Amino acid sequence: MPVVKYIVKRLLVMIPVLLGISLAAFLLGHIAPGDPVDDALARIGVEFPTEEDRAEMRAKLGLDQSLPNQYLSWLSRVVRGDLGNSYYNNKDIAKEFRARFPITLKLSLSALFTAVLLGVGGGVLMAAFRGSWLDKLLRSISTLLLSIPGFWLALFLITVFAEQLHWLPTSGLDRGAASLVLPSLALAAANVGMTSRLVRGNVIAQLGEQYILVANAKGLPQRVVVLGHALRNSLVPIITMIGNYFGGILGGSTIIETIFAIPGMGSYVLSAIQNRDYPVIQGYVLITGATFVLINLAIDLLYIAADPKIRVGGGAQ
Amino acid sequence: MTQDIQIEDLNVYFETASGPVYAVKNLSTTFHAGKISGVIGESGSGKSVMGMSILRLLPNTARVTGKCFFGDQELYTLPLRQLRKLRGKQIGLIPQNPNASLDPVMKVKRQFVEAVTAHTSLSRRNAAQDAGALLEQFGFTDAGAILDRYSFQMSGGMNQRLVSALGLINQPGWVIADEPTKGLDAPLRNQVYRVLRQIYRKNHSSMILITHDLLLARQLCDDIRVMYQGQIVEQGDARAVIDAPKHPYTAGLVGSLPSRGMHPIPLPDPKCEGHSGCPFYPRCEKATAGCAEHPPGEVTLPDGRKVRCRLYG
Repeated sequence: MPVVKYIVKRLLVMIPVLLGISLAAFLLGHIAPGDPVDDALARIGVEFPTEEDRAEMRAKLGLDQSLPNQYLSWLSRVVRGDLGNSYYNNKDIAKEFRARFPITLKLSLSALFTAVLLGVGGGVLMAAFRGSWLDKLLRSISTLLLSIPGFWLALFLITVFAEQLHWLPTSGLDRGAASLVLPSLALAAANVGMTSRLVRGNVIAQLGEQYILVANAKGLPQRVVVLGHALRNSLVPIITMIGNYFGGILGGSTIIETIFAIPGMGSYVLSAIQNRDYPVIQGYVLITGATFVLINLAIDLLYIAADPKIRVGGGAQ
Repeated sequence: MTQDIQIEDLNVYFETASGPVYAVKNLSTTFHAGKISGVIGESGSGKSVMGMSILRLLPNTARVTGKCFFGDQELYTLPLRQLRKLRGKQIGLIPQNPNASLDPVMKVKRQFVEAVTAHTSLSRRNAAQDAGALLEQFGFTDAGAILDRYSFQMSGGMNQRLVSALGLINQPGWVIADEPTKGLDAPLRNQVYRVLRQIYRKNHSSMILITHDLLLARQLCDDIRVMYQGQIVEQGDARAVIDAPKHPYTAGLVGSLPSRGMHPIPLPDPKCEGHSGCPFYPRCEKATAGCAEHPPGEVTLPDGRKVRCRLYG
C-alpha cells in the first residue's frame, strides 16, 4: 500500500524534527545572556547574593547537573505537561498556555483560512482573466498587500472599520467571530498577496498544458476548465506554500495579538521576552514548533488527496 | 446532416519583437463533409495551426483574421459560449501528444463523463457506461478497469486510443485529428491507422487528418492539401497528389520518403534570400528567374488539382 508507506514515512520524519525543536527550546535558556541563578535570586529579593546563596539556588534549579542530564529531566517534565513556573510571577506556565493556545490557534487558523480564500480566489480570477483590467487591478492590490507591514495595516483597519465606521470592535475577543475579522485580515494580508501571485502563476502555467487544450476541445465551460482542471493540477505547490505560511502566521500573531489586545500566546510571550522570562519563551518555542510540525503533517496528508501518484504509486505499469 | 468546413483568407500570425510572424498566410480551402481530408507538410508548415484555428484552440498570443464557415455559422467570430457547445459535440479533436493530453490528476472515467455531460442531460452513470462501450470498440477488453485509472498508469499506445475515443465520445459529425501518429513507433502507427479507419467506417464522420506521415495520408485520405510556410501549395485527390505530385515541394516530400530513395529537399540557397516571390523559391530545383519576383497564384489543372506554382501558368 503506497499510502500507508507514505504516512508511516511522514510520521517517522516527525520524530527527529520534534526532538530538534525541544533541543532548541532547551538550549535557548542556556545561551540567553545573564545567569538564571542571579535572576532567580533577584526575583526573591536577594540583590547581592553570596556564593552559598547561589550554590543553593543552582542546586534548586537543577543547574548543577550536566547539560544532557538537565535536558533529559527537562524533557521528561515537558512530556508530562509541566513547563515549569514563570520567573516573573511564578505562575504555572502550562496552565497559562492551555488557556491561551486555543485563542492563538483560532486566530491563526482564521487568518490561514482568509489567506487561502482570498489568495486562491484572487489568483484564480487573475489567471482566468489574464491581461484584463481585473488581472491588473488584483495584481496591484496583491503587491500592495505584500508591501504593507502587518502592524500598520492593523492600525489602519482599526481606524477605518472600528473607529470611523463602527462596524467591528477595536480590540478584545468579546464579540465572537466579529472580533476575529480585523486581526485575521491584518495577519493574512501579506500571505494573501503571496498566495494570489503563486496561484496565478501556477494556474497560468497549467492553462498552457496540452490537457487543458483537450479539456477545451471537449466543449467544457471555462469555469470547469479553470477550476476542475487547471486549479486542481496546481494544488500541490499551493498546498506546500500555505503550509509554510502557517509558521509566519503563528509568529506574526505575536504583534497582531498585542495590537488587538487578544489574550493569546503571542501577547503572553511578548511580555515574557520583555521580562526575560525564559521558561515561558521555551514553552512558546516548543508549542509553536510542535504546532507547525503537526500542521505540516496535515499538509503532507493533504497531498494524498491532491496527488494521485502518491495514492497509486505512480509510473506506467 | 453534416456541413462542409470552409476556410476563407485565413491568416494566423504571432506578434514578436521583430514584427509579426505568420504561421498561416492567405489560406482558403474547403473540407468536404463525408470525406477524409488530409493536410500534410513539414513541421512548422502551419498545418496544426490551421487545424486548431477551426476550434479556436490556438494560444491567445495568436492573431487570427479571415473566416471559417461551418454551415451558416462563422466560427472565428462566434461567441465563445456558443463555440464551446459546438466543440466536442459537432467537431471533435484527436490531439497530438496523447500522454500529455489527459489530465494527470483525474481518473479517465471522469474525463470521459464530463465530456458527455457537458453536452447532454445523460446521468454520470450512463455516460460512464457509454464510455466503457466505446473503449471496447477501441480494443480495450477491460474497459471498466481502464476507466478507473490515471493516464500515467498507461502506455503511450493506450493513451493514444483513449484520446481518440475521447474525441469521438459524442459522435461528432467532424473530427480533427492533429498528427495522431507523431512520435509513435511503427506498430503504434499501424494501430492508430486502424483505429482512424474504423472510426470513419463506423461513425461516417467527416475528418480532417493533419499529419506529416505521407503514407498514412495516402492510405486514409480522399483528398490532400500540401502546406508550405503557411500556404497550401497543392491540393487534389490523395493518390494523385502522392503518386504524381505536381508542385516541386510535393515532389520533394515524396522523394524524401525512404521507399522512394530518401532524397532530401535541398536547404535554402543563401543567394536566393530576400526575394518577394514564391516562398519555396530558395529550395526549389526547378526555379526560374521569374519565381523570385512574384508569388505564384493558384492554378487549377484539368484534373481538378490546384497548384501554386509558375510551372503551370
